[in-house]
Amino acid sequence: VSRNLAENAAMPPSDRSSYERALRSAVLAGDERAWQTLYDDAFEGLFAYVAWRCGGMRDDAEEIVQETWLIAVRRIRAFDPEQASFLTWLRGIAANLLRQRFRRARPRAALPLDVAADDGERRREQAEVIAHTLAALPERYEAVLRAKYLDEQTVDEIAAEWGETPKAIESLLTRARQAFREICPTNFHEETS
Amino acid sequence: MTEDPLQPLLACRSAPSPAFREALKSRTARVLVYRRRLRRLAWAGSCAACLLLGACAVLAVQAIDWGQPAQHTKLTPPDVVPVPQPAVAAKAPTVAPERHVFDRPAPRRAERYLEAGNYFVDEAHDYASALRCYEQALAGGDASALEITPDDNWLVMALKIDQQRKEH
Repeated sequence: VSRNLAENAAMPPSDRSSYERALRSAVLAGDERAWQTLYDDAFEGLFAYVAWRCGGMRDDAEEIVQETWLIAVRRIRAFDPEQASFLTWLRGIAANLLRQRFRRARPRAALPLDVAADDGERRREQAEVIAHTLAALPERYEAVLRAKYLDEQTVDEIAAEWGETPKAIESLLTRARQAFREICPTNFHEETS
Repeated sequence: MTEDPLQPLLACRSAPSPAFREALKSRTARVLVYRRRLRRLAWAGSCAACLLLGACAVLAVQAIDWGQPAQHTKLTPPDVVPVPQPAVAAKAPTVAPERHVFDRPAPRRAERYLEAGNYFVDEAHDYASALRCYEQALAGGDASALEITPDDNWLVMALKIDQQRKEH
């Protein structure tokens, strides 16, 4: 049953759906190995997403990832393979947790952040700013930035996946970047632009 | 080509530690096992509760004094009482007694008509013939013949009373 994430992602949607439906049924019946398969398939992808949303803050990322998995194992019954992949479902849970976490506590006052700085404190602050900004972005902007910077997809690839024209995606990316800059503390984009 | 200012910020990568990954896997698997056991326990509890309720219900039913057990009346076919069938009158010639009357001398005719009437009432159940015979008997007799005697049957009595009324 065990397949790696790459195999899972490369599957046609119908195969992926059947595969994950079978695993879900096994998990609901209490099969530990089925759960481990789901876990192994999705762990890397989920961690990468959460770490990106946390601006690279490892501690926060681990905390959110842990919370996400614990929610997932308790609510596996709610997962519908027909609606979305297991990883997408997990990302949805994580996105809610991230939004709650970073929208609740606003970042400290804008600090002169230097991207190249090695200083741990500065890196931490910079990550916080990024996390808060991503949490404040509209969902579609966050998705296009994720596709571009985390999944490293080209504009054409994003357009093909989303069923849009490359021009529309380029425009969306421009607006998303603009929104990112506007939400970020002033000093931050002065430093980075 | 302009440099993307967000690239260094948003392209950050952070790999999970294998220890964290394995620890979390074990923890989630434990949750799964715990929930499975909980479900089984709940199922077993439900079964036990059902059995207990069933046992309580049986005991409660047994404890109730239902009084005398209901009489189970056995349905038996009712005794067939043979209905006395009227004896089919022998198809003897019903006018025969009347014919004999004519063979007798006149003073004895009234008596023979009575006998013939009695035969029609008692044996042949032919009341019309009996009535005819009794009328002949009374018509042929004297006044004393209209007196009701203990030997008269209901039909003779009725005829005598009727004749007496006519005479008066």
